[in-house]
Amino acid sequence: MSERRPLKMDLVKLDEELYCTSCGRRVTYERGVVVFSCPNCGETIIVRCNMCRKHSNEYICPNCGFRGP
Amino acid sequence: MNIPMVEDSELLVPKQKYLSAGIHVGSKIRTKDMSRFIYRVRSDGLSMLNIKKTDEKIRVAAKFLARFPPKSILAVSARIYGFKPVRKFAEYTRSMSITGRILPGTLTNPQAPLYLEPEVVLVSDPRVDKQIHDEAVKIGLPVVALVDADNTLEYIDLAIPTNNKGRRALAFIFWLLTREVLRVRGDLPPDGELPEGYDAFATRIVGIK
Repeated sequence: MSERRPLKMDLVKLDEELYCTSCGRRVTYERGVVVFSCPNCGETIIVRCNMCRKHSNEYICPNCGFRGP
Repeated sequence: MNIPMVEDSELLVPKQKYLSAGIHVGSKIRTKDMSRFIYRVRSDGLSMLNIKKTDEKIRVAAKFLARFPPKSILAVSARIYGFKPVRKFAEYTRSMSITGRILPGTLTNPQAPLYLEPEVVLVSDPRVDKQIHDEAVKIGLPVVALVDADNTLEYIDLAIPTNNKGRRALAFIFWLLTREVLRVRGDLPPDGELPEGYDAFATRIVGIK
């Protein structure tokens, strides 16, 4: 049985503290958290916590100002 | 006026092409999440989506998808009219695709017969493709979705507002997305076109005698 590799190892380190881009709260590696590079510029890391994704809260890229989703 | 005043030069394809494919025609049911993408409501109750925002989102989605390795993109459609567009998208962009029923555990169970490890998921309708959407959320994958006026943006990281029910609309949006992804990757020149038109992406209807 193959083990699932830790997600987004290339974007963030496992011991790094993550803060949600939308609400600013610290997030942990819980279900529903996602980390990806900004869809528009690709230079900033966007972190979205479970609740912000669930409530479809807007995120704004601090670099290019892109508003998602 | 059903659409906002935009010049053809501002869009990826001429405005008339968008209109003939019907990607601006949303459903009668509207959600609050989608209100930012709705331009107006027609007298018969149909929502008209803002094609300028659709155009912008396709550009952004193409840039986003092009950053991932081709084999780590998973395009999914459980809707019949989405089968051929998704397969064509996967064929041109060399990505993975699933059409039809999703076997539960495809993303979460390593012992499943069709276990896949994508890095991003593209769904044609988050409500119809709920199984793969839930699994992508569970393992923390970003979700790109084609959304209509009746969808919510719950657990969607990049939404492309479009008509996601029509045969021609789905074909057109996947054709355009394929072209843009290939252009951003450099597989096509900046003004290059796909060898096939968007009619080749459309599901054919076979008449019943």
